Amino acid sequence: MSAVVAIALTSLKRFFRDRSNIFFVLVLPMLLVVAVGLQFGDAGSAGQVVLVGSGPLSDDVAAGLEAEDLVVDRLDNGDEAREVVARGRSDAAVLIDAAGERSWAAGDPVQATVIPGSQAGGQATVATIGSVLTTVSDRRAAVTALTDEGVDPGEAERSLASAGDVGPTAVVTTVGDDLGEEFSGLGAFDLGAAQQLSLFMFLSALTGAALLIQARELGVIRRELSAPVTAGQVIAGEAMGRFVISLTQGLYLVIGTAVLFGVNWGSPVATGLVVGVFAGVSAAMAMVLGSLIDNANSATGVAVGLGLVVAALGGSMLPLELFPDGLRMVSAFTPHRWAYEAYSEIQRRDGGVTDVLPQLGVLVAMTALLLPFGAWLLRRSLSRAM
Amino acid sequence: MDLSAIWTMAASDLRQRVRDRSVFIFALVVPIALMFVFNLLFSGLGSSGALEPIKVQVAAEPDDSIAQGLVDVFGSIDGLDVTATLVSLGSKGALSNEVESGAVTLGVVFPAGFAGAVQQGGSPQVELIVPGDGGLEPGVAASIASGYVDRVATASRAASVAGSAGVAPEDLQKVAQAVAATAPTLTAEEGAPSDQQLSPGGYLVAGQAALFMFFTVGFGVVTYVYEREQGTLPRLMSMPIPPRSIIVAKVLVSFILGVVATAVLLGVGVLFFGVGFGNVVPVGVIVVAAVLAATSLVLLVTRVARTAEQAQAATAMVGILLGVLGGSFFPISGSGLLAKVSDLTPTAAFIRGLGITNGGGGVADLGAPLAVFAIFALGSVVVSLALGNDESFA
Repeated sequence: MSAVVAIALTSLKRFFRDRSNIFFVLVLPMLLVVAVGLQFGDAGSAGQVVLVGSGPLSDDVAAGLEAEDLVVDRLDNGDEAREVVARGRSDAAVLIDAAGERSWAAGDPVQATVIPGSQAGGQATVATIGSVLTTVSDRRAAVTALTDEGVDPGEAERSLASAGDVGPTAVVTTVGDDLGEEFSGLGAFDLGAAQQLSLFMFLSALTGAALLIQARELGVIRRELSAPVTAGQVIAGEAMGRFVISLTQGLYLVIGTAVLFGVNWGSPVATGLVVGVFAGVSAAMAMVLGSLIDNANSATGVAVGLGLVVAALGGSMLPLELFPDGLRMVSAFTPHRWAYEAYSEIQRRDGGVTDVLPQLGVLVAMTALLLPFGAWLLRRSLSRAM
Repeated sequence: MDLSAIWTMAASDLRQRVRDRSVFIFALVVPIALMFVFNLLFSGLGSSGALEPIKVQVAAEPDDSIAQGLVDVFGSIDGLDVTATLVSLGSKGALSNEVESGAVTLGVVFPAGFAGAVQQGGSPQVELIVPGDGGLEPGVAASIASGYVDRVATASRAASVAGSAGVAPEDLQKVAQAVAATAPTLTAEEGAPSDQQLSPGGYLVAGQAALFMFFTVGFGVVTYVYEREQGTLPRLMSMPIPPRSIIVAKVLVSFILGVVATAVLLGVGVLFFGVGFGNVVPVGVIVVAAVLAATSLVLLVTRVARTAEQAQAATAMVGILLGVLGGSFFPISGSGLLAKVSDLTPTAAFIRGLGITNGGGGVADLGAPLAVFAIFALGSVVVSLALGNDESFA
């Protein structure tokens, strides 16, 4: 057993001796958690609107948009707003020019320009903008109707504002799977951290496959075999090496994101088990890859490609809940999907070990299939090398 | 400078790179695979197409004039395919099921005695039933319905305020009706965004091409460090050629690999995802300028790195960081500081440049992205030269 552990620890040492791995394993995932959190973590926001215009009307419209949970970004220049929308940086833009502000102040009708974005959510945001404009317009109509009856305009505005509880209200009831509720228990960085965790654990293990190839190329494995250890111990040690690399990556990310960004990882035992089992699948896959390919450079390319593609298909880049049905079925073949489901259970619904048993079972089954296959491939390539 | 010697070295390097499968994997296979997967994933989210027909059912008492008003509002909206019908209040339970099954886009329930309660100045609730898994059409329809309810509420408030202000009771209804009947004074006309934009699919292809450009050009210049490690550099130096020719040959290899790979990736986008990038001449200018900027940045990396492995890793780091910051995966939202910093990256400049060409822009319109590339290229070359005490930079 000590021989197996020694070989495994040597793998870990060799992995971190390459200083670039410190960036890829320690720095890059944290940067991505921040980037994803800043971009998508604002769960309360219904969308982003650029508003061009300054004056009481623009202020009223801005307040109305914010009341609808839209993030309002105010700019001075219409062309800039058109460009921001064109580049997908905002869901829509509202333009109110100086003439519009003057007309509004004079009590005349105003036409605002609304520019829909082409990205997802553009048209829904435009519909919300339309209803905000109607509300502002109706308030003006109410003040006019009251003024016509002899009420002072200032008094009319104040009274209308304080009569907010009069009149009907609309309440929204959702039926079927509720996406909003599904994500409601999550902090800004929670979802991104769980996604990056699987992505990087798998990726680190797979790029570690190149080390396995180097170990064969440089004769490290032959030297290991010349020591009083069996081929089985060498293979177990190399498999353990990939496992330790992936596990180190996983534990670092869980602890790091919890400390730095307050990510909620729920039950430590359940999360620890999922991380451990996922490291097992990653190590098994790395064994297969490292034994099938003979060139370390090609293996790195395949590892990065495979790591990213499988992660994308497994919900590490887009939440699984937003997947089309066909792709959701495909995702069942990736370990990431099962880890994603397990972390969802733990993070969003305070799940414990028993709640994630089905996901753990699938991950263990995947390891049980891949690991013997990888070990067999490595044994075959070792016997060829000798 | 001996051009034939440069070409001989570059051609030999290119042959080696082509034989080495890793260039193909990094420059073409991985980005193309990612493009296909992202396209599959994100095509379901795009909303660039027209909205599906919307079916609204309004459950209310048969004589509820306010509910009938909502049906009329849905019927009068231009540019939307909406069918709105009034159904009996008793079918409320069935309505939830129909919304859940997708047969009805939005269900609206006006409770019994609603119109009377509103006239009395009460605050009854209108229930909007939407499917929980979101979707564009239910969101749009619900916005319209809630805007209508807001209008009714404002009219009701106006009547209430009028009552408190001493307006005669017989005139209160007139106030409410005046609000409800007034044509909106603040309306929206649809404006067009700048036409210099990529489609969501085009953005995805451009983003991946920009990201992997750094990896690809790395395969050229980094071999300079490799030659130094392997001891073949001194042998090249002993040849009767100016030492600077060697680095020029490496830059040429990077440049050729970068241009070819980027052109292939954009071509794959055009062929398989049906995206467009505009006229081939300005697109060519953007590709060449972007590859030059990326090559010069990688050149700078190789000046700092001591080993080929370090150089490769550093190139990957620079590429990934510029890719994330420049919006290779998703556009940086808003117009704040982060977006402004993003605009200064060659990745963002590449995507923006292709947006301009796709909108019909020519070479003369490419000033801003070309300026970014020029600043990167010049800055990198100047720093590289300043660092240089290396023989081939002499």
